[in-house]
Amino acid sequence: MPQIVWITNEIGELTYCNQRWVDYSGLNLKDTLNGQWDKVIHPDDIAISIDAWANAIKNPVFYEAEARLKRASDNTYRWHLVRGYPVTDDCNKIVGWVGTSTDINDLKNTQASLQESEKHYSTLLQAIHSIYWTLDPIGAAINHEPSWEKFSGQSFDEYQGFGWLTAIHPDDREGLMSAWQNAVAEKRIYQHIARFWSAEQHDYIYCIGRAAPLLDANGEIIKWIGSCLDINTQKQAEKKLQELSDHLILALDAARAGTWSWDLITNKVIWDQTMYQLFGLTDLGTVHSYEDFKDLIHPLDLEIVEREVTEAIVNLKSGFDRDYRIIWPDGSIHLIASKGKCYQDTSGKINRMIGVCFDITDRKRSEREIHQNQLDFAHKSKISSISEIASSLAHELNQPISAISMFSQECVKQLENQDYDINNILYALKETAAQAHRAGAIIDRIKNSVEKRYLLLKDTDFNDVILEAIKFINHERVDCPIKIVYMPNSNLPLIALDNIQIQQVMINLIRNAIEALREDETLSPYISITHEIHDDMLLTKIMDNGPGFQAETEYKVDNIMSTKTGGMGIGLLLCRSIIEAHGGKLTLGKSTLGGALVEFKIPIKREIR
Amino acid sequence: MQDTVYIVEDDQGICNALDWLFKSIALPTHIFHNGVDFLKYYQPNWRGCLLLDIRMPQMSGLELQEKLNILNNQLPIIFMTGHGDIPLAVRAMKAGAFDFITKPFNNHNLIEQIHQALKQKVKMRPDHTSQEYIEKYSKLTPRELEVLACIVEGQLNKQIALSLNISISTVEMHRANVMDKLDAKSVVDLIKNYILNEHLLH
Repeated sequence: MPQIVWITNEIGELTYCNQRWVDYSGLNLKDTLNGQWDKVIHPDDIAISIDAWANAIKNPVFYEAEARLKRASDNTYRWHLVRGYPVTDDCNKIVGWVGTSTDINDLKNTQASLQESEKHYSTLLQAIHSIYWTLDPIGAAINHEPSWEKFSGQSFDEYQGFGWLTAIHPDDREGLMSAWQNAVAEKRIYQHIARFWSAEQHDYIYCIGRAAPLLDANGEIIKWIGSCLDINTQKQAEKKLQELSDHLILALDAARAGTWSWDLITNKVIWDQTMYQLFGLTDLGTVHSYEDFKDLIHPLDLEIVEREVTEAIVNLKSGFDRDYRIIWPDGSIHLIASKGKCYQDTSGKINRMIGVCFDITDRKRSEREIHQNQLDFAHKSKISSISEIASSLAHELNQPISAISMFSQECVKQLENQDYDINNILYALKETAAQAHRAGAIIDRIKNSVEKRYLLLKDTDFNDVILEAIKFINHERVDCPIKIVYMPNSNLPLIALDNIQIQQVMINLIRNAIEALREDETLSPYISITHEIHDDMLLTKIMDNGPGFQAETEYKVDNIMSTKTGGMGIGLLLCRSIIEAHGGKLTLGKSTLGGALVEFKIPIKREIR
Repeated sequence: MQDTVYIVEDDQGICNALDWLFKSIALPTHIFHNGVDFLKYYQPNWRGCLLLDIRMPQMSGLELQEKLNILNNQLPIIFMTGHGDIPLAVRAMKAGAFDFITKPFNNHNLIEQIHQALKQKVKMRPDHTSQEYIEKYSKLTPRELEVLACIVEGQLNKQIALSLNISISTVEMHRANVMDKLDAKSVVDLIKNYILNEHLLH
């Protein structure tokens, strides 16, 4: 491009301009040299130009200024770089200046727009809480990056070169470096997610790093311009969502729950695989609409299902919960529990329902059994605790009895041999009395341990108590030939009693009878249980056709020594205590069947001590 | 040093009775209320016998026996047991106890056993001619052997009836036969002799 050339004298007065100036400015040489050149300069730039000239005169080495000069052909100002050099004579005295004026308007515009776009870019990055940085062609940091310093807390000394890598989570460094090296090798956009140390949060947070290579005319990388965006919240949410989804799948799987959705606008129904299994269907994809679903419902339950759905839609319910029966293709009937949620569109109308289904056929069936097992378990633990008490008390009673036995035997021996010291005998008898007293206290404690227990009184149908006790007994004597005869009495009033404790009494008494019959090997053994109402008392009799009580016991509970091997009759004491705690009485006798009779009465009206 | 009856028993009433009984027949006693105390004072040169309660809080009689076995104890041990403690007594006998006696006891038998133990001087089992026992044992029928095995395990008659699937009165009959053939005066006697000779049988 032809350049404008100019020459001045030693004080800066123009003495020459080339044709290029004339062509550009439209000023002829004469007018220019007469000082009219300043009309070509943009008014805003005249001052700068004059200042620069004044400086150059003072310090005559070099003159440079940028100014807008008006182009005559289109009447526009264009940026020029004006440069001048002093010309000296042999004595080094300045004799004039020679200079040029170069049109830099296009370059200037590019710079300005670059500055503008950089400003835009950094504003944008700030707006999205991003970190902005530049790296050299291989990725070393060479510039101060304020946003990076703020984010990572690293100083320039720390992050320069590849120091910035130390702010990456150790586990993520390798992956990041390989992604970076790929981008460098292929000179393409770099993008990678890694955990970066955040000075503010004192923790590594997930960020997405992006960078673009700035290429020169030969396609070589000049530098990288990049950003780093905090995506921790998204990443955490993603992780949580994944976890939730895993949990949900697990839960659905474990519960063998099927899921479904129904779009009310299009009447499109979507079932998952489990739904088809629950409905006994082998062909997937046969249910498409609400009507397809309705066909599978048991005719007797169709109405309630339809009513539930209609109510949900009409009353804008948030959800529903309904059990209904379905008929499988093989004709079997299954019970389904269905729970769902309703979704509304912006106008509040319900447009979508989603829900889960379970097969509860087995559950319903086993609920009763579970209930029964729990009852049985409660009995078993209570009863075993009573038998444990009984056995530990038996051991305890054994101690004073042993002591009494030793003292008395020796006393008898010494007295019979008439070889004794009266003080010695006296000591033994006192000890004997003390030990007898102790045995009494132990027996008292048995009673108290029952009486002081809370009675949980509930109005109870006595028939149930006995039926459950018999059921319980039957569990533990599967192969026993002993018959238990009991006719429930439908005229019994409800009685306030602790049914667990009274059941224990019943179980204990029936068990005693069974064991007596077993040991005796009675022919066609049987036990009869009957009720009678006397005034305000309900009398219950347990009779058997076994050997009965020994006559000398005179039917007193305290006198009973168990006929069972290893037993001490403590169970019977406990039974009596429980009955007495209910304000009743337990007595023994001879049954009309020939064996033992145990009867107890408890008040029908609540009269508890 | 005079022979002493060392007693380890947690029940004060029993201790008083034993102390009084042994004094009246001029037997020196030394009473400990628990196994820990006994071990604290125990000397290997003690002579006499040890009367040991099988059920005690803290350290049971069996645990004390185990510890004494490690110390190479030479005192013969007589265990005092309660009702239904037969399985424990069997374990004690297998671990080398001299004898056991069930509460409440017959004074005469107790004193007899103590004297036998004292005569022994060092821990040795009672003198039973093993050959004689084996001869008696070989006369048992298979059914009687089964019943014997159950008795030694501490089973009650009704449990034996159940496990062998026979009636209780049949068990009682077999039991009486076994006692008779083996010359056992009591169940304790029966179990004891069986355990002492067990290694020679089968």
